Amino acid sequence: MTGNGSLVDSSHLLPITLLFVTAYLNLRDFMAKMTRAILTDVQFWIPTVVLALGVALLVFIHGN
Amino acid sequence: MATSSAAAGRSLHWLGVLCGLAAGVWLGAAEAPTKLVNAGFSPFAVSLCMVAGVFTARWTFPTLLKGTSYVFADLLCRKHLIVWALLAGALWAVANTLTVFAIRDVGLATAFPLWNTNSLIGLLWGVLLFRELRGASAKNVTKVVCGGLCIVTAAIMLGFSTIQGHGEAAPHAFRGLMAAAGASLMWGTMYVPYRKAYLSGMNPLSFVTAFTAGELGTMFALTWTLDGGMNSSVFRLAESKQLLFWLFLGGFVWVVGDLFQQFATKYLGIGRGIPLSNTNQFWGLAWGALVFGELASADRGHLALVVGGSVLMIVGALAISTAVASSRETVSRNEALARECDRYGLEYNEVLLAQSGDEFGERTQRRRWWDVLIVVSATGLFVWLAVNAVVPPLAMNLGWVAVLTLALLVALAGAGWALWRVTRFG
Repeated sequence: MTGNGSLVDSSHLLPITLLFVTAYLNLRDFMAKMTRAILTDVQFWIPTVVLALGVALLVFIHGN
Repeated sequence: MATSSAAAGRSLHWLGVLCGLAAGVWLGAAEAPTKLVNAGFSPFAVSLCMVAGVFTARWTFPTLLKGTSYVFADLLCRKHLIVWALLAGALWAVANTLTVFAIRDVGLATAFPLWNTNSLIGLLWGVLLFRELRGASAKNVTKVVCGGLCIVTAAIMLGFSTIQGHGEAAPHAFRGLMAAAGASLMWGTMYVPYRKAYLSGMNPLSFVTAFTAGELGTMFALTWTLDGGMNSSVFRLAESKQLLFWLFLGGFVWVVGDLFQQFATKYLGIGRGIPLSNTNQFWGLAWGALVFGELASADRGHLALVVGGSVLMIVGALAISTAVASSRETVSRNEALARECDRYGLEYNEVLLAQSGDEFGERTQRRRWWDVLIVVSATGLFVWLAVNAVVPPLAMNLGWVAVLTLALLVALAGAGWALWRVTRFG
C-alpha cells in the first residue's frame, strides 16, 4: 500500500507496463518464429496428412 | 578417447536393445484387456477408457523417476516439440481405435502381427527423414532389407491365415484387415515425432507427458463425434467400475511398455528400436493363444500359418535390430541432429550430450511435495478401481496369466535397473 492509499506507486506503472509489453513482444516473436519453423517443416506435414487419412479410414470403417 | 567413445556407444546400443525387448513384453500384454470389446461396448468407449488409464498411469510411478519440475523445464526448453508430442498422441489414439475394430473383426492373434508391420513404415521414415542407415556397412543394410522382407512375408501369411481359419472369409475380414493395415501406417508414422524429439535431446518422460494429453484429447473428440456424443456407451462403461479397472490396467501396462519403447527409440533410432519393441507380437500372441485360447479350434494349417508367420516376423525384427550402428552412421545421425538445431535454434553441443542421457547437466532433479501428491492421487484411483473390480466373464487360463505376469516383472526389473545404472533414466 502506498502513501496515497493506492496498491501500486504510479512511478512503478511505466516500468511494469514496459516489462509486460516486452515480454508480450518476445513471446509473439518466439511464437511467430516457431510457427514458421514448424509449418515449413516437411516432418510436420507427413504425420499430419497420415493423421487425416487415419481419421477418414476410421469414419469409413465405423460407417460400414 | 575413441575407444571409450566406442565402448559408450556399444553400452547405449545394448541398453536400447534391452529397452526394446522389455517394451515388447509390456506392449504385448497391454492389448489383452481390449477383449472386453466383446462385452457390448463400442470400440471408441473401450479405447477412450484405456487412454484415460494411460493418462492416469503416466502420473503414477513415472512421476517419481523424474519430478514435474524436471519434466516441465525440459518441455519448456524445447517448446516446439510439444506440438509433435500432441500429434503423436493423436496418431496413437486413432491407430488404437482401429486396432479395436481389427481385433473385433479378425481376432487378436492375426490382427496383432499385421499391424506390427509398422516397423517397416518407421524404417522408411527413419531413412528418408532422419538419415538413418546412411553410411551403414553392406552387412547392416542387408540385415535391414532381409529383415524387412521377412516382416512383409510374415504379414501376408498371417493375413491369409484369417481366411483359412474360418474355412471361408470371416464376415468382416476385409474391414478388419484394413483397420489393422491403417493402424500400421499410423503407428509407423507416429515414430517420426518420437525420433524428432530424441534427436532434439528431449527426455522420454517429458515427451510422454504431452503425448498422453494428445491421446486423451483426440480420443475424447473421436468418441464425442463418432460414437453418439452423450449417448456413447463410454458413459455406461465409466459407471461399470467392475470392468473399468481392466481397461485402466491395460493403459498402465501400455505406458510402461511405451516408456521402454521411447528409450529404445532414443538409443537405437527408429530403424532398430521399433522392430525390437515389435516383438510384442510374440507376447500378444502368447496372451491371445495361451490365456484366452484364441487358437483352440484352429486347424493345423491355420496354426502353421500363425506360428510360422510369427516366427518369421521375429526373425526379421531381430535381423534389423542386430545391425549395430557404425561410426559413419553416427556421423550421419549428427547431421540430422544439426538440422534440428539449425531449424529450431537448439544448442548443438547440449543436444549432442543429451543423446547419451545427459539432458540438463547440473539442473535440479529434486522431487517436490506436489509430486508425491500427484503419485498418491493417481495410484489411489487405480486402487479404488481395483477394489471394485470383478474378473470379466471370459474363459482365461490363470496358470498362463501367472507365467506371463512373471515375464512382465522380470522385464521391468531388468530393463529398469539397466536404465538407472547407465543413464539415470536420462
